[in-house]
Amino acid sequence: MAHPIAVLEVGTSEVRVLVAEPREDGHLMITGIGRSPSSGVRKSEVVDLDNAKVCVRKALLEAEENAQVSIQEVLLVFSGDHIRQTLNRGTINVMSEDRVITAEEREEVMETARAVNLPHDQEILHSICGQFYIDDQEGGVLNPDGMSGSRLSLDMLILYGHSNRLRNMFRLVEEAAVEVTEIAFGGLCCGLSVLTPQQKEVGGILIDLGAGTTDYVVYSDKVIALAGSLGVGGDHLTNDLALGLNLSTAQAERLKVKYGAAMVDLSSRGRRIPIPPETGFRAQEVLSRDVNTIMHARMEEIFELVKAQVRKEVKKKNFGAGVILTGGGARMNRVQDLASRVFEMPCHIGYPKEVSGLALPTESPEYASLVGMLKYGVRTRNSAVRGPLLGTFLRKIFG
Amino acid sequence: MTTPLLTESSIHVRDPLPILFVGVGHAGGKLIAHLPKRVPELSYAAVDTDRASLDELPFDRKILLGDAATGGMGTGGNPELAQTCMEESEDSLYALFQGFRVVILVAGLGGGTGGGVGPLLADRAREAGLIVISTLVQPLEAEGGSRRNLAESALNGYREASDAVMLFPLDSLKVSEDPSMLLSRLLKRCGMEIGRSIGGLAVLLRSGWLIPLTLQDVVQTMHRADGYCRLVAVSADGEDRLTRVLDQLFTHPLLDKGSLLAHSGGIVLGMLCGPLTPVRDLERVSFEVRKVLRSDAELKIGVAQDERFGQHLALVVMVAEHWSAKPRSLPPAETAIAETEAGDETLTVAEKKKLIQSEILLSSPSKGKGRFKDIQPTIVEGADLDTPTFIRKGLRLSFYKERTK
Repeated sequence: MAHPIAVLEVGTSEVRVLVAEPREDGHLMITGIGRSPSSGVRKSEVVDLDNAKVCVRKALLEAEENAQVSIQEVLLVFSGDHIRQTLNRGTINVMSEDRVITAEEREEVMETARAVNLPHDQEILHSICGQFYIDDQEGGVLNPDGMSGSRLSLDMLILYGHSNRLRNMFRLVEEAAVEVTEIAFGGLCCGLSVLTPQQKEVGGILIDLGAGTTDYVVYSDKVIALAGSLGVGGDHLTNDLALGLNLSTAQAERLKVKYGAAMVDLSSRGRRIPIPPETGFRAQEVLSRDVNTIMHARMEEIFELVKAQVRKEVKKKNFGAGVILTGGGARMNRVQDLASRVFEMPCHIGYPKEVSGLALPTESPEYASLVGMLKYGVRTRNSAVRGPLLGTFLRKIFG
Repeated sequence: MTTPLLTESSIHVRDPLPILFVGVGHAGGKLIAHLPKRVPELSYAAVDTDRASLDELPFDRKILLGDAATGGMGTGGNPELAQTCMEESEDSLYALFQGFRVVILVAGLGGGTGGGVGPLLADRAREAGLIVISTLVQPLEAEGGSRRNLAESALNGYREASDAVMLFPLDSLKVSEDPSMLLSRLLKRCGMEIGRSIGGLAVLLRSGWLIPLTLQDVVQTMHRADGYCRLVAVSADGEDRLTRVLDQLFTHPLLDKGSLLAHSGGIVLGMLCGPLTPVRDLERVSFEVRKVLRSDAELKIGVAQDERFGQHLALVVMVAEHWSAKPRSLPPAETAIAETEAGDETLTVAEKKKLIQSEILLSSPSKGKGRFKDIQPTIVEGADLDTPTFIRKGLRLSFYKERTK
């Protein structure tokens, strides 16, 4: 077995750490888990460094004890609604006499497509290759090496984010006495974790329903066509219930998890749900219909917002794999029905694939991003040249 | 020896209320196909987009909707096609409603015509000035997601256009202690429940009242119930009829075995009996029912007599699922839209209609953002997503209505 890898996600509801040992065949064996209820994090961003630090330390410690390893460095999964995308087309002229495109020209067009002007407080996080276009041909190709043409273009999907907010996340982890060696956007990690190559090829919409944010990644025409994050998630559902039904946050959270559904269930509309008393909040009964009306409105809005983004940004809307849901929100009762209705395509829950070991991460959609990050870590570790991810970002922030 | 409640001469006799039963779609027609034999004095009609299923029904009035658009083959659940069918057949429908005061629509929610055309039909009936009661069968949970989605969407449509929606969830009618209950028996049971309850309600509204219960009494309760009611009918005869009829009522599956009765804010109880029913029967029914109701519940009781009942005693009970201090108003759609069009230009006509008919925005909670009030807001296309969606969309919660009572 190779040296273990540790990944960390500072979520809005929970801080999670996974430790895994990659096997030679690429399979991952999960050997340790650390979890701690999160504090000081809202919408996947640090709002109270001290509180959040305690939670990170606790989760790291638990994972160390669990896996019997000492964690010195981690790969960090991040999200946040400051993350934006832009599609940049780079074009070069093919200079060779025979007009055959070489690997060097492919690299050159990638560099050109990666060069975007961003505001001074924004940083490129990921640059993801789309399709290459030769001359004025409408259809793109995934690899132009060896083909003939006089001009080569490439669509590059650039994900960028707010430097200071990312810096806060780095500071948080480093103050917990571990080094961040790589970071990646949670939505992309989920794609790595739950989607098969076939699903990516036929296209699909992956939505990671987190507590603080909703991340989405859209595969179409064999490439990632869209990725982004909305600053709304399960935390908003809890807040909506608390405000709407005069409950404490804890009462609302329990209500959401135990009785909530993304659709108003006709058969239980009139059912009354008892809410036990809590300090400052009396015991009461709420109607199932009210609970589900509040949740339905929020979830429908989230899906509609993602759908609007897809409609606006994705040219070729081929989604043979349908909608795939990950994150804790994927466990919500009838969320698949709602997604299926909004997107007008089949929907299913995405579970992490090609991992074994401890049961929880392999059976839970909320571990999709962490398992994906593990896979990403293995891939970059095995690669002589690290992918076009965050090298530049790390250098700029910490260089 | 039994004592007559009142003498024949004191019975308040009215002109019979003109009530039309309309079976909408295949399921709706089937569900009331047995009623003309049992209650022949009422009027019946069937409306469908499927010629074959319409042909099977024993009603005098039958309307095939959208013959040109579908060739009599049904809509297949396509709402746009349903709309086209309605438009094609509007004249026949208005003619059908002529002369009636109340229309009782009966439909299955999961079907193409019952779910797609039905809400539009309810809307047309209301436009024609009728009181619309929609009696709807909710499909089984086991029938799957798409059918349930269609059912939910259809229910909302019916509710917006009807004075009251009486829901009959098939799942509630399953006999829990009988796991081998046949599907055919379940559907038959549903048909019987619907026939008994809406047939009973119609008979009550038309019969000579000993203790009057007017149509307005019933409609007021429907409106204060937000349109959502449950309707059940129970009956028994013999010496212990009172005990048995009350047992049936308090354990009825459509009333969640009495739980709905205990929590409801408004109940209409119609007692249908033979001419020799003693006062003490009414007193006992009233006492036992009041015992299970919450203290502030509004109970309206009426007693009607029908000679055919002999020693039988029947209770028809309409129970409000929700209850508000103010009756829901259902203005004609066009007027309501015109009234608000100037006020909010950001809404589509459909949204405006929904807003008005749901009486929303009347009692929304604090417009705060709760735990998100001190952090960077999430603004998308001008909307602050940290404010609860249900507040921004102006959705109404029963919770607030109950609190404001």
